[in-house]
Amino acid sequence: MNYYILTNNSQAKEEFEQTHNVRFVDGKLIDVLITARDLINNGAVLLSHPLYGSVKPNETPYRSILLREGKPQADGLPAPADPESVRLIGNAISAFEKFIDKKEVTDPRLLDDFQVVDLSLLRSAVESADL
Amino acid sequence: MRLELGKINITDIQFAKESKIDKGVLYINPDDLKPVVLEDEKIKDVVFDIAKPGESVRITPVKDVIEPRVKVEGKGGVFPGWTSKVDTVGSGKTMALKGMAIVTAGKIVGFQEGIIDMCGVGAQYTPFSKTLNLCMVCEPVEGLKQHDYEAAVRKAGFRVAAKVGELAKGLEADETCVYETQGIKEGIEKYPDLPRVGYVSMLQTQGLLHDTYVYGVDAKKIIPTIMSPTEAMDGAIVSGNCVSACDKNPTYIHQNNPVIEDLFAQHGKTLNFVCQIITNENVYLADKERSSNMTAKLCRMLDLDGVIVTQEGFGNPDTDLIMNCKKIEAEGVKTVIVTDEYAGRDGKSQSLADADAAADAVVTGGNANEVVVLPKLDKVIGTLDYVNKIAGASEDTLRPDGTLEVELQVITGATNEMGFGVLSAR
Repeated sequence: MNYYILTNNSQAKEEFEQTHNVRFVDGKLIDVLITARDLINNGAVLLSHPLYGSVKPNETPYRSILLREGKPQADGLPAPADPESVRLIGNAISAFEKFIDKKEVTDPRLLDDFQVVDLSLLRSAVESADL
Repeated sequence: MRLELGKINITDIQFAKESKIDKGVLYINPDDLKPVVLEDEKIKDVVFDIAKPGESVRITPVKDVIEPRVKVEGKGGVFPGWTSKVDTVGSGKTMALKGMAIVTAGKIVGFQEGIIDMCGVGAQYTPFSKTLNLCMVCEPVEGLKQHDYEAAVRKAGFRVAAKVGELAKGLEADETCVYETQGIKEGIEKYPDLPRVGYVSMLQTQGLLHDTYVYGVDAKKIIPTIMSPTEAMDGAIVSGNCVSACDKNPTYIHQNNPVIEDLFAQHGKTLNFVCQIITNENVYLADKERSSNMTAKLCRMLDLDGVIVTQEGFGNPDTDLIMNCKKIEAEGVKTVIVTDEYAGRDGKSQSLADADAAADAVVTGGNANEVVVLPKLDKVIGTLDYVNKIAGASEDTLRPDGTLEVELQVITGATNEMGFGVLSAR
């Protein structure tokens, strides 16, 4: 399927950039969600749930999301926003804002663990998408 | 399918030279259990410890909690796919050591959580402060990756639980419960006037530390299927997930599922308990659609009148929960959903990340964001090194006086979505 991975996780980029279309976001988790929202508003469709993992937003700094381009309309206009994707990304951003602010994680071992778990959850989505 | 569950009430655990059960006391020689753990070359060492209700002990980070059981009659063995072959279990006779648990603890990833306090405020929230806990902390070999370590500790827990369970062989049960469901036709004929009720059990299936297994299969890979509710009692469903700890189902809760227990208590009286339907909670949206479609179809094909749906986890699974609820209701089958809430520390925020008008009968397991202060305890089994990094904790978690300010999220089983905990609301 023609899809791309939106991620701020460098381990995900490293693992998939040779075989998949990866759009790397050099930013925080919320930047990934907002980038996804903007893409969705311009017709992109979510393929994986933006809230995956029980590691809560504001706890993990990483997020990876699968999206595909929407189909342009017959009259040449860009694809309309997919209502389900709009709803899910909106709920995800609301959920993110609900959690208390925490200091940024800087411990490299911890960052590695967060990246490994994010990558594991992403892999399970990619495995389904690539079937 | 008919299962007799013989219960042996364990009143104390002691380390001793000989491993045995005598007059309700479990005597354990750790040297008998060590080789069972170390048969996996990925584990370098293991330390056993005992935590008893009321003691000033904190176990953290908790990975899994397991009840020792052994099959003494009928097909197969406990934990099929792991410590036994994959025979269909859930019939015959099984012995269970009640009042105790095997707890696997120790750090796998740095943000891992899961606290069991054996006394104080925290003990009020975790069901496992009431069990005598035989704890095992495994040390991995140098350089072992997180995935491999998780699998090694998970499987070691099942092996130890099965080994301890074997001590019940040949013993007389203190109490025996019988659980029996009928085939479809037989059930209709036997209980023609009772509503046909099923139990939809949603299993967390997303990846590392977020997985559940059925008969040795990663439940991400299943399509929803029907099971006899007694199969879970023999360990057919086991846990590979522990973050966030408050609303993840340790293996112990699958073995002692309170929804199944309560439905059996009403079976033949107010309802006809037909079956358990298991489904998953994958991250890929098409998987969610497929699984909820299949679950709704099964409910319809089984001619159910109503189902109880239990969720596992928060956020992403809220979408599966609502999909299941909407689609099952659309088939004309009534639903009651069981969940917990992330309603913010003040309890004023939206509780779920998804919602629908069809979800008009909801049972809550409590607000996972509620803040509690846990006292400093004398002894820690595991480590407190990472306590500031865990879900529901913050930089201020570990206070100078040794107390911990945390959200309920960190406490194992605190807002359990099968109703195994103590919290709810009316």
